[in-house]
Amino acid sequence: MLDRIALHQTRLHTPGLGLDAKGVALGAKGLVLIPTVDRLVAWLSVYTQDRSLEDLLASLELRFVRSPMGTQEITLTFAAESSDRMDRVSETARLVGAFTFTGTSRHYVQYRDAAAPFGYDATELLATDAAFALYHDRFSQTYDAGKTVDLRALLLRLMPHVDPRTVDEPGMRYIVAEEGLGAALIHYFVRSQVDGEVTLAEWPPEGAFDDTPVRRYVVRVPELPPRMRSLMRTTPGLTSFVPAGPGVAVELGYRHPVQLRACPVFDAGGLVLLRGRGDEPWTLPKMPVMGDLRGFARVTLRDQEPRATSVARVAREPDPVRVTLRLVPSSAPWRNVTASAIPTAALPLLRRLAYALPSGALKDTRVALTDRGAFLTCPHGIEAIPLGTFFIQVHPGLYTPAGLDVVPKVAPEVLYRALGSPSGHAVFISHDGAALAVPNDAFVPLETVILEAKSWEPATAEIIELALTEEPLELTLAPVGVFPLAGTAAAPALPDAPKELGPAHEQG
Amino acid sequence: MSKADLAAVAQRLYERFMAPLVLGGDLAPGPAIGGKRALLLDGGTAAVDPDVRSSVDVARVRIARRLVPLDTIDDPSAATWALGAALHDMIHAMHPDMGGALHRSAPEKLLTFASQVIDHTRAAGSLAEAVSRHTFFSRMFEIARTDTLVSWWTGSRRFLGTEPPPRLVAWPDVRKVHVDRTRVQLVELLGTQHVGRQEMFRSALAAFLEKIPLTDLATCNRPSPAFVWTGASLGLFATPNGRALGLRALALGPSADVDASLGRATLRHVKAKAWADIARIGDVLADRALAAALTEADASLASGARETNADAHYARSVGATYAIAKVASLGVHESVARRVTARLMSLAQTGVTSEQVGASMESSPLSQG
Repeated sequence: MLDRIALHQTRLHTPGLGLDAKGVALGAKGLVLIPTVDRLVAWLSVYTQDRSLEDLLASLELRFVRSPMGTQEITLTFAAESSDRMDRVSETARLVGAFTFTGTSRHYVQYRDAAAPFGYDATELLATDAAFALYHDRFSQTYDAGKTVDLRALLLRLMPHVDPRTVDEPGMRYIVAEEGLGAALIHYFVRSQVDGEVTLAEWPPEGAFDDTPVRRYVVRVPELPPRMRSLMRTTPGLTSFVPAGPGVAVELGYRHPVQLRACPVFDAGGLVLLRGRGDEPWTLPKMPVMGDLRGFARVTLRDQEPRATSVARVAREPDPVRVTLRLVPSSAPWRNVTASAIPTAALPLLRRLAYALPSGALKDTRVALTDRGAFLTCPHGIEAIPLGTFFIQVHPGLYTPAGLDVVPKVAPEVLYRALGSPSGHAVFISHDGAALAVPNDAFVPLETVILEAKSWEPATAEIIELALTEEPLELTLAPVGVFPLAGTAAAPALPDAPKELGPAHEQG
Repeated sequence: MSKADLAAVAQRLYERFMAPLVLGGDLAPGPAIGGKRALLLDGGTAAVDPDVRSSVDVARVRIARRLVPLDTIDDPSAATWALGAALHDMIHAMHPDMGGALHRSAPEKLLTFASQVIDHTRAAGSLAEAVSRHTFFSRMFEIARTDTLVSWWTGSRRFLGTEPPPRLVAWPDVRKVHVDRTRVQLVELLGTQHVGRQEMFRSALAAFLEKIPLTDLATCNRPSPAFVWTGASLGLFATPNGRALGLRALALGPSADVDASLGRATLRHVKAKAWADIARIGDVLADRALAAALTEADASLASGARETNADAHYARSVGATYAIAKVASLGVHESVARRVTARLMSLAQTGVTSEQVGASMESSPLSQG
């Protein structure tokens, strides 16, 4: 009889059963009761689709168990660790029709399900000496332990299914060639420049009447060209395998029912080649040394005796090969256009343009006036002065016309040396291939030579008189003379009405 | 007398006396003009050099703008010519050589001629005429004569209004020359005259000032002749425009000195019991007190009240007393009116002259209804 464990229930009857942090009944182990091997394989296949068995492998044990009634089933026990792991395992078990239990030593009680979120507790334990006592809500059964099942052996015994989709899978391939085809296969790959490694593996004789071991070439090709895949697959004597995990590969065109990558039971230092059609897998406990395919290329020696070879003696110095420098049109974009040459006839235009040039262009541009015209250079680009022929600086002292390439296409340093490397000069190669050298000292800033300053004339400054300055009144006296009142006379006598000398009095 | 002679006289008077009186510089009166010619100089502007006339006009406008905003000013009228000639003769009469042995009565005659001319001249009939006259004579009290005393190792000599000859100041180190220059103002020149002449001059000057009331008010803080309220100056305040001009003219001088002069002049009227004039004077002083109470800060008002002399106190007290009655008619905010009234009352209650003010108010026919 099972009781559903309630929330906050702490007392359990099943020995070895406890509650985890979530309050779920959990023992030290988990146990999956699988009715048949098919169901076991199904469980492995389903479980390894999304998860790896690596965390279970350390404690995983497959065992046949037999009930008192003689039925044989398979138990899969492992360390429970946590309810999360148990949940994953029980979901998979439920899918394949298996039962999940948890316990510690002998008594295993049904793991939680939807009806009992916190699990079950067996109120009445079976008194038995059997290896397992499983308590389910529908049954309670004891089982005796049988033989164990080796997972690796089980996986090796499982026959791969036919799966044509694996034929075009890219990636590494193992091609096993019979001994007679090995050399030809190697030369074929070498001739086709297919990278790979090859080794020669030996297997025990297949029959009792054979004394010699069976040799086969094992070729590992990282990337087999698609044109060769069909050949490798259909040629008798050649078997292609696709890696399915560390140390294991499955024949091309087949797929193992279990995700072997999730079952790290094979030695990564060896190689197990699982063949289809029920054939026994080819196993290499330890991979032999593999060599590069090119090391096995066919070597052909001349049959004849080597005759004396002619030895070259020192000859006279050969005549130098000289070609005329030419300029050809170039479609490359113009870069580093930092100089220009303005013919003498266009200098008036430069004078007119000077009025519109920005201050930066005037400051940075340097000009040298020669009998061939003016040469302008500007380290930031000469495009601000759109006159004359543009030049590209290919070398600190060498300029070639923009839009043209110098042929032969020698390095600028070589070209500069060929021109004599005139120190202190800037060399301009013109359109006809002629080179003009302008002394560096001749270049002066454009702004200093562009302006024609007029002579100045001194101007006389006049002091502006202060308009509001009041001079003091200075009474100056002159001699009054002998007759100081000469010409003076008294004013006429005032009449009754005084003489009107001003406007009428304003009435206030 | 030919027109040419008059033109020459007018040109000389204008260019050597009236123009420097406006522009500044050397004032060179002489020879004497006389009363008859002084009254015939009307229109003499035509004889004047246009450049000089233009400079004078610009300066006259500048002087007028201190009182009234205007851009042009009229040519001198006949009265202005006459007054100019009169002042010219008055100044010339103080020539140190005038009144010598050969022409001992010349200064008195000239002063008599000047007085006659002044008497002939009517008072300014319009504010424009008053301003025009003021522009010519506003600087008359700045006239000064430089007297130079040159002393050397064997003697000394005084030069009045003239430069000493170069020979007297040559070799100053060898001859131990010392030159002492003294500026003698116009009013101080009176002291160089004998008493009778001084009295004539003061009388003529007073009459002259009566013809130029704006200049009289603008220079009321002069030491001599002392300012007195005249009919002309009080008549100026009879009209609102005239009152504005007159108050501006009073504001040209230092406030304390002006108040002192006004106080003295007012006290004279009070003592003379010229009540009709006192009412007008009170209005003038009230306007000044109101202006001070409305614009000056309390601290400056109080300090000004402490520092001025009794005459100034008197003028301010009288003005404050009359101004208190005017506060209500100002039309200002009540708080401003209260503040102004408090300031005026503090001025009116100044201890020095409160009794005098009270006595003058009580005995005024106006206060007696």
